[in-house]
Amino acid sequence: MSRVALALRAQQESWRVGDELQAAGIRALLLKGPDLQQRLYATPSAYASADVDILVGRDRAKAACDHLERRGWTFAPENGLLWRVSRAASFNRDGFTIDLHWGLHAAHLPAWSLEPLARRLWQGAREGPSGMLEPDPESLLVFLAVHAVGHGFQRPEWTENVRRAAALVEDWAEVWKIAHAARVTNAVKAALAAEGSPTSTPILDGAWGSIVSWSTWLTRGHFVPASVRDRVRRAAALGRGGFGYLGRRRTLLISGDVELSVPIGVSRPGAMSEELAAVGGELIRDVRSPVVVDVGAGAGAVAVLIARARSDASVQATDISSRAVAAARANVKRLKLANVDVHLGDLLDPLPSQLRGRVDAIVTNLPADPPPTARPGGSRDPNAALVGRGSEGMGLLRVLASQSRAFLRPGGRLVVTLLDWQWDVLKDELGSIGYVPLPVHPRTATAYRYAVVERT
Amino acid sequence: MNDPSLRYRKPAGILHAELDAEEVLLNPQTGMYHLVNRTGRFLLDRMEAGETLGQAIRSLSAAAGADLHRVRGDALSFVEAMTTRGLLEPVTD
Repeated sequence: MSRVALALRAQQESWRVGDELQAAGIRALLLKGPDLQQRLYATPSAYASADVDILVGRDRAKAACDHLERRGWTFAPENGLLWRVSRAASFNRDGFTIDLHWGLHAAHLPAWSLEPLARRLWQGAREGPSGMLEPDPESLLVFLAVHAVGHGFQRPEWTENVRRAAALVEDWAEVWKIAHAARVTNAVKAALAAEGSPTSTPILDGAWGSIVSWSTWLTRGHFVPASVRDRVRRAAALGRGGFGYLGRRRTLLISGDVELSVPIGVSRPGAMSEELAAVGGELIRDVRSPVVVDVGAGAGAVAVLIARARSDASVQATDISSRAVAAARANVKRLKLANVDVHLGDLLDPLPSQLRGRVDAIVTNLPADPPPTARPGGSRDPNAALVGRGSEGMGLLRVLASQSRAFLRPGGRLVVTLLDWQWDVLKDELGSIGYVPLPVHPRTATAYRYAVVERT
Repeated sequence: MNDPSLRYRKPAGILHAELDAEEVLLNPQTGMYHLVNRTGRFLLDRMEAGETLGQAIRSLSAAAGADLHRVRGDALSFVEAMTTRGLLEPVTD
């Protein structure tokens, strides 16, 4: 159900973006996403995918990027350093990702090398159910073949996409004409035969293809080990977010007068921290000497606010990041809060065992954004503060809910921060492990909501 | 009250996906998900194939071996609920 829900949401978002771009006079061509799955598999949710790829004209790239940002889409930190060469950038909003392209790229090849294929995609395109343009079957097959080869056949669904796209082809002579003009004939043959390994299938044909491939492999630094390139990319991502080695330490004021020091690499607290603290405060309003746990505390904003508001409360904060824990402890000490303890560890693991069955409220703003692909987050991931685990991003929330039953007293409450559609999915699951959902709190200025469940 | 002599269809813009033998609908206007069970899907599929609501009800009654009168009552309630939520509309063209 969650994959279906995610697919329908992604479809809804992509249609909305298509309408917005069209209204702004920007033609958009849908490359990949739930609508492609609908076309190939007669369902938008044949496999897990939380992002949508849209192609715009190169001359409209800036306008499209500006337009998305004005509409609340955020330039994704993980766009790396060479997104201009790839002519593609990811934008995030409400847990979804739009991969905006103004050229095609595959593996390390630059967009200009696939210009003929991009032109052909536009030529044969026709309007699809989304209102955006879709490639004709012949150019779609060539595109999907290049995509599969470019990604080294990593995912079986990409090979299957090629097979299903082949079944839609009406004019095979046109397919080979397109492939020849784009110099990707070998790649199409390999994809159709479902052969090849990441290193053995060249994307571009002939000697020219080899020269382009090797020269860009060198100039893009692909001779550098992937682990090093990942670190550079992460540093750039952190820098974009104001953190990391390229970022700067910030001193922030929250709740009007509380000064927090937020060092490099720790998530910045903001309005949502204040809201979450208020929700937590409301849950313990009638409890004397409550025990409250803030999971994923970061620099300690929520814990600090609750502790200041309730001097009788015992506030426990946990975080998996040693940097965050050090920051939180420093803030607690500077603010002279004797009723906050900060623990280093994963979720509730570091809590003292004597708290079992005694906690009145657990609050959290754990990473829960669904990742573009199903890859787990982690403390070394630049998106660790945002991207959750599992294909819908709720892996951490599920683990926390399970662990929380041991620490919450009967009637104790768990507050999680998540998107509307995630709550629709998670609610029933929590009900089945002994939680009762309570009325959710009003939506924040963002798309997130605070969902409260009570331990039975 | 819905008219059995009419055909009903999902309005343009309603997103949907199969889930086993059921169907998940997402109404972008409300942001709500709806799950249509096997029986509801049968009715929708029949109308999609060109049957009127009344014909679809008879088909369902025959397929399920259930009392026509009872099936009619349940089917009309289902269509009423779906149209109220913006998930179905009568076909007039």
